[in-house]
Order: sequence, then C-alpha cells, then structure tokens
Amino acid sequence: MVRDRAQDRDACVLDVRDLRVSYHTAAGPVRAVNGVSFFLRPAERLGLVGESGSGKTTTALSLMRLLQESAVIEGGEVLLDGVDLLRLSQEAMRLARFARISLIPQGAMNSLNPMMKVGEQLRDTIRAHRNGGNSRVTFDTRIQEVLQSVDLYAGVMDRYPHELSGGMKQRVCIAMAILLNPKVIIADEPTSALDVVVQRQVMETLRRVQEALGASVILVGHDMGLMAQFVDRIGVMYGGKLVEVGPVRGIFKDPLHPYTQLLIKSLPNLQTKEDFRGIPGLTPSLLAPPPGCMFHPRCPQAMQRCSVDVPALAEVKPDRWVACHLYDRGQA
Amino acid sequence: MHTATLPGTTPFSALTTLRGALRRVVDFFRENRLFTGGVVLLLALYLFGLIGLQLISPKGADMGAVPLNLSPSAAHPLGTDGLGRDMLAVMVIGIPNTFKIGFLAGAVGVIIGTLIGLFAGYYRGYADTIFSSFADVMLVIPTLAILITVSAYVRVVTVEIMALIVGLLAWPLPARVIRSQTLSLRDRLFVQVAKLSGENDFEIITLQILPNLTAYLAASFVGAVSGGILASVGLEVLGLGPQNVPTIGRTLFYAFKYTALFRGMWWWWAPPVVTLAIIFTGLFQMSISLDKYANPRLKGSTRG
Amino acid sequence: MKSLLEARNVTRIFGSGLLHKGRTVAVDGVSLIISEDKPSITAIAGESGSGKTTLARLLLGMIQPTSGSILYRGDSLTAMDGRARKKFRREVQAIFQDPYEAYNPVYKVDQTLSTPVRKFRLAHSKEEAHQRIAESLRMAGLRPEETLGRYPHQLSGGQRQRIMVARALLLNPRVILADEPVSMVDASLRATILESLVRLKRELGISLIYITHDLTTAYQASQNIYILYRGSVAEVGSVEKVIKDPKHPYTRLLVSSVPLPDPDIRWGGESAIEARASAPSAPLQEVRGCKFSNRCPYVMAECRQAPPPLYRTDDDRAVACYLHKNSAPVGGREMAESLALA
Repeated sequence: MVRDRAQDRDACVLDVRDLRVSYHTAAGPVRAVNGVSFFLRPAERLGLVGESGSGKTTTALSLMRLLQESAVIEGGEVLLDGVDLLRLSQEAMRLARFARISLIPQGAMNSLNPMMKVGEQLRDTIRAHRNGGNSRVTFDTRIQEVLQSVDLYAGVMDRYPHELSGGMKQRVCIAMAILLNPKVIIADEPTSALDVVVQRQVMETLRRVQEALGASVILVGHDMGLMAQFVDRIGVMYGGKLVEVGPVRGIFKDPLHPYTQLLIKSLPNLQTKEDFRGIPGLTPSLLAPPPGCMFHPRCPQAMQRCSVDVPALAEVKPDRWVACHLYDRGQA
Repeated sequence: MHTATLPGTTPFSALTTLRGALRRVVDFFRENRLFTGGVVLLLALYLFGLIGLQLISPKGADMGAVPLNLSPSAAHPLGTDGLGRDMLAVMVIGIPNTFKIGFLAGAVGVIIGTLIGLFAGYYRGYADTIFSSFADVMLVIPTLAILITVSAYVRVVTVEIMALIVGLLAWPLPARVIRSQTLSLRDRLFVQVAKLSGENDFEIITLQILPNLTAYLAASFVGAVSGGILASVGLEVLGLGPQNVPTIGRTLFYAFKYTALFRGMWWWWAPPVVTLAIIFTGLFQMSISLDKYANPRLKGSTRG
Repeated sequence: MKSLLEARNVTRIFGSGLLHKGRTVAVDGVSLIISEDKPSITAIAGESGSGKTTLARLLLGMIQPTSGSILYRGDSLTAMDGRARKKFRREVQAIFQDPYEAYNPVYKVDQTLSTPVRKFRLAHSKEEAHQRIAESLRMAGLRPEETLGRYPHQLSGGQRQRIMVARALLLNPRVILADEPVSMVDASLRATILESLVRLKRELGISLIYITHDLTTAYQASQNIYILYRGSVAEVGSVEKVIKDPKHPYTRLLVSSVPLPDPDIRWGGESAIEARASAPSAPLQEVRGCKFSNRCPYVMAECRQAPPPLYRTDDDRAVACYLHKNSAPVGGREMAESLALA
C-alpha cells in the first residue's frame, strides 16, 4: 500500500515502500512481512512494536538484507537517501552496511566473536565496510573516540568478549554500529537479555550517541514501556502488517486501532493495582491467515466488512496512520 | 476435529511409542539418501552371502575340496585358492561371518558403553570419575595389541567368542559420547519437570534421557561395527582368530602366506579386498549422514 | 500461624575450595514463610545473580541448602521419609520460565500431563485420567482438543506455558512456585496467564510464590515482596510500601529504572543521586559488609564493615540498610512470620 507523501518523501532519510518478505517452510510459504510501508525522518527515533510473529524483526533485518536462507524478499523498496537498498549489488550492500545503515543485534553475546579481542573486531568493522586503505592508527583513534562516547574505557579494546559484562558487551555493539557514522541505526531488542538497571544505562547511552550523531534509530521490540521511554514515534505491527503509526504520546494516550487499544490497556503499571487485562485469542497463523483484516477474529469492534476487505494504512489525522475500517470515511 | 489421545497409565505405552518410532524411522530413510544408500550396499552384500548359501554347497570351502589354483571359470566363478577351496564358497560363508562379528561386537560395545555412559553421566561423582578414567586409559591403549595378547591365551576361538572379546574392548568410545550427552541432558528443564512429576531416577534415565540419545546411539553403533570389523579382520590377517571357519581376514592371511599377489592369483586376494571396501564404504556413508544429527546443528547462514 | 512452606535462614554456596576462590554464595541467610492459614501471593524479585532462581530450587527441594533448612509443614525436607516427601511433591508444584525447554521434544505434550497422574495415582482408569487432564486444561484456559496430541513445537509459547499451569493444577497443590512464568511469553498473553495464576489463589486458595525481575507485574500480582540482591534480602514487605515508597538504595535504583509505559514520565524522574549508582562490574568480588556498598551512592564507613541487619521501618516492611538504623532491627525469620500473619 504505497501512499503518496511527496512532501515527506524528500524530508525523510529512510523510505520503506510495500515491503514483502516470505519464508519458505516445509508447510508452505509464510508471509512474514506483508506490504509494510513507513518512513523515517532524520534524527528521529521510531519504535517498531509487535509480538512474536508480527514481522517486526523480519522487517528490520530485511532493511539490512541480513535474512536467513529460507527468507525471500519478494517485493518493495527500501530507499535510503533515495537509493534503493534492495536493488544494490551484494558488494554495494556490503559497503552500505555499517557505513550507512547499521544494526545492533539482539543478544550481544552471540554476535561478538569469542575468539577475537574487542579492538580487533572493531577494526574489522571499519575494514570490512569501507574501501580504501586507512592506517591502523587512524582506525584506533576513531575506535577510542567511539568507545569513550559509549562510556567504555579504552582498555576494553584489549579484552575478549567473555571478560565483559552483558551491558558492556552491548555497548561494544553500539560502538560497532556507530563507528562509521551511519544515517540509520537499527536496534533489534538490544536490551532483552539485560537487567533493568543495565537496560536503562544502555538505552540512555544509545540515545546520547544517536543525538550526537544526528542519526535515526529504529528500535524493534515488544516492551511498550521501553518504547515509551525512548522513541518519538511508534509503528505497531500485527500479523505481518503495520496497523498503526503515530507519535508516541498519541499512541499511548489515544490509540486508534483496536489492537493498539487492547495492547495499551493490557500494560500493567506501577501506580495503581488493577486487574490484569489480556487480549483473548491467539496470534494469527501466518500459514493460513484469516481473510480480510488479520486482527478481526480477536477484534471486539469487528464489522462485517472486516472479514472481507483488507484495511489499508491511511492517514486519518495529521501524522496518525491506522489500518482499520472503523476509520474509513465515506467508503461503503 | 482432532481427537485427544492419551498414553496409557502404565509405565510403558509401548504400542504408541513404537508406532511413532517406526514412522520416524521410515521418514528418516526417506530424508537421508546417503544413509539409505549405505544400508542398501551392506544389505546387498549380506544377501549375496545368505542367498549364495542356498545356491552353492558350503563344502566347497573346505580345504582340498576342489583342485588348487584354478582361475575363474564356469565351474568356479571366483576360481580356487592354493588350499583347494572354492573362492565363491569361501566368500559366501565369510561375508555373513564378517557381518556377524561386526554387529555382535558393535552391539556388545554399544550396550556396555551406553550403560556405563548413562550411569556415569547421570550420577556423576565417584562412579563417574572411576569409569571415565578407566575409559580414557583404554582409549589410549591400542586395541589390537590387547587382542593379540588375549589371542595368545584363548585357545579355541569361535566367531562369537572373538566378536565378544572385540566388543568388550569397544565400549570406551560409546561410553564417552553417551556420558557427555547424558551430562548435558540431565540438567535440562524437562528432566527437572519430570522429577517434580514424581519420576524416579530409573524412569528419568530410560524415559527422559535415553529417547533423546537415539542419534548418538545409532552413530556409536555404526562406529562400533566399523571398529569391530576392522579389529577382527586385523586379527585374522595376522593369523589369529577363528581357525576353522572361513572368514574374510583369514582368506587374506592365506593369500599373503602363499604369495597370491606375486603369483598373479588376483581371484584370491581381490574378492576379500573388494568386500572390505564395500563394507567400509557403506558404513562410512551411514556414519557421515548420522553426523548431522549427532553434532549440534548449525544455525542457518544469512545471505545479503 | 502454621507455616506451610518455609525457608529458615538458608544459605547456599556453590563451588568447591576451602578458601574464597571459585566460591559463589548464591543465597545468603534468607528466611521466607508461606502460611497455611491464608492463601497469599508472595513475590521474590531480583536481577540475575540475585539468587532468586537458586532460592526457588531450594524451596522445591531440587537442591540442598549449605546451611539453614527448608521446612514443609514444619518438617525439614532433608529429614523427610518417602511418604512425606511424596506428599510434599504433590502439594508444592512449579511453573518454569522457558515454555519450550520444559518439554521433552521426543514426546507429545500429553506426556507432561499424564506422568503426574500416573506417578501420583490421581486416577483409577484411563477415562478418569483423561477427565482430570481435560479439566485442568480448561482451568488453565485451554481447549483439550486443540492442545492434546500435539508435539511441543506445534504449539505456541503461550499455549505451552498454559499447559504447564494445567500440569501444576493437576495435583491440587497448596503452593505453586512460578519462576518467571511470563518473561518468555508475548506481551498480550502475559496478562492472561498472570490473570489465571492470580485466579488460582482467589478461587482455589492456592498460594503463589512469584519469582520475577519485573517489578511491575510483581506489584500487580502480589501482596508481599522480597527484594533480593546478590543472595541477601535487601528489602522486604508489602508491595505497596516497598514499590511505591522504596527505602533501600538498591530498591530505589530498581524502581527508578523500570521503563514506565507512559511517555510523560520518563527516566530521570527521581533524584540524580540514584542514577549515579554504577553498573555492577563483571566478576563478583567477596565484599565485607553490605553487598551493595561498592555501588551505593549513600555509602558510609560502617557499610563496609559488616552487612546490615534488617531494620523494621514499618509494621509491614523491613530494610537491610544502615541508613535506617534508627528503626528496630528484626530477624529475617521474625519478619517473614509477621508478613505471613498479616
């Protein structure tokens, strides 16, 4: 569903249009990302929220073209400063990674090489994604600069990953992601393995670093609390589609999509004791998706139309996008 | 609508587990061509022996039964050797014998090794230290040396006795493999859950841990069979082992003793060699395909 | 007050070595009581390294304490005979964190349910067994025809976790220990599962011990809470007091770090002093004195000398911190008892 956003298109740093990604499983093709479109403004923090199976991680990884063998990007465009990343050659994409768009992966423990010192891995990042011979000295200066900005002491360069705590490892990953001054940083549940105290410190480091760089961040996750604390805008995903996009305050105080409403209502708070309110039903099967709107089987406000027509993501209020028939004006 | 099924309230709902296991076995063969190929190879060889025994007289393998040193002809398709034995008869008896030795030795080795491995891995502590050290020592000592020494003391050796002796020396490797898997499985959450559900140690080992070891048991068995055949052929080629029964190794022993190679009597040494090549190829194919189950699965790689 | 399940000054040390090298004190002198008279929901909160998982395993009798004891209905677990042990197993059940690992991948999920029925002789015929199992599945919010007969990988994480709840219910326990029951479950399902656990206490009178690192759900679900730090109780009391008005510097740090789902209340709401508490350095050193002293922004000389006792600042709350030494000191067991009575 490509929308015409002529004015926004020029102002945004990342423009994703109608992204479609499928996994080929033994049981058949699974549409993990089904026509997702959104844009990212410069220096903006966007949260991509959803549960397992919503397609948020697949979307994020497709932007980097780092999907598993069984996944196929079937269509769409990912325009980074006007250049479609999906159409780049393997080599060009490799150079774009970390230099123009980078990733802070989930579970830092798994993404750092346990056999290499941290400094060497950081040097490798520079070497791998930038052409031209720069001296090791220049590399190291840059690396130390970056380590300092994430609150790590320079000696970390000579350590092996297992000598560092979880929070420190994650900060090394942040350092790696900003080494080459990318325009867009994708953070895929960067703190899910961390304690709440360390989580706060890592996220505050990320924010500080991102603001200094003027880069944009896409934070992928399912912790709405974290989103509330960190992002400017939120995109809610369900069943492979974006169902609502809007500024963080708007999403929390005035959610429009029934799923978002139920989600917000289900969030426990630390102010008052109240009953737990879950969302009844099961997450949709992507192998045999329901007809029409993916959410209609669980939706308390479902209408006849919802089981027939797929709702399109539309701007129903300034900067508020919803994919729901409740907001279709003047359409039968 | 799916009907709910429950295993019976007896400890072993044998029928349900058996049916499920059989189905998994069939699926396995279908998905692992290389493995199936290996099995087919071995089966074909074994059947050659079995069927052959029905068609030709085993008396042809007795010494002096037929004229000496005849090259292959219609009457003797694989010729005759320097001791007056029909080579075809020798092969037809020898091949099943080799299989018998291999499987017996393999089974003995794996069964003993599994029992020790399960016990040591589950209970740990002193028992584990003792058994593991013992196994490690045995792994280091060359088995052939032990076998040769034992052969010097054991007079009458039948195929079964030799297989038993070889098997008794084959347990350390399976024991090590099973032990390390048991060590990691015993700490898995579903074992804790089973304990909380009231299962005792025996049930945990047999019902919870053992079924997760099938890949390792299969791989260990193939390995033990290979090792068993190799060790027994090794013994036989040296002139030790069963004297009165025609075996592949013994045939090679005679072939070397009577310089069949220099006399150009290829029909004497070639059939045993080819047989061994086929057996080990088949076993190798099987063990390679089992590797991917016995080793931790690698995550899928990413592509750009 | 009759105590149902009790940890009496338990300590659990891992690792060998007479000296301090390679030794971890996972649980350090913790006392906790679940009363038999009134069903309750007690939270044990802490981060990784706090000892909460070890405490759970001690309470379940899966490991033995190095010192102190675990008592069930007044009897020490280690001194129990077979029959008493069997009774203990029936009455104290658990739900674990990982809804995948809890299942043996070789079997269908039915086995996880039929095993306790078989081992505890809960049914006298196959039909009766099926009845009981179907009943507890329904109590856990599942449809038997949609869950039985499947392998674990064929079900969602939420379904698997609910089957675990059903399994715990089969035995009609008095206490259920839930170790991070929803941390690996989707957000929308968390509330549903927690709701069903809370209902167990309300409708069936089953006491719950809720172990978690998530203060928000701990606050919502429980009456009392124990905040653990590196094996010791830092603060204990009613959730209203401990969470809404935390006194221990560590509790304050924890509470202030929780990301509230409200964009208008961002981190940094509390005083900057708490924010200065540094992150724990990698290896755990043996610390003389208060375990939090090397991170505490309020550290004083006496904090480094000896670990502080619990000071009872309110009727229903105690803090292990010298900042509150003006309040009367109270023993861990005494405090646990008084909370259980309340």
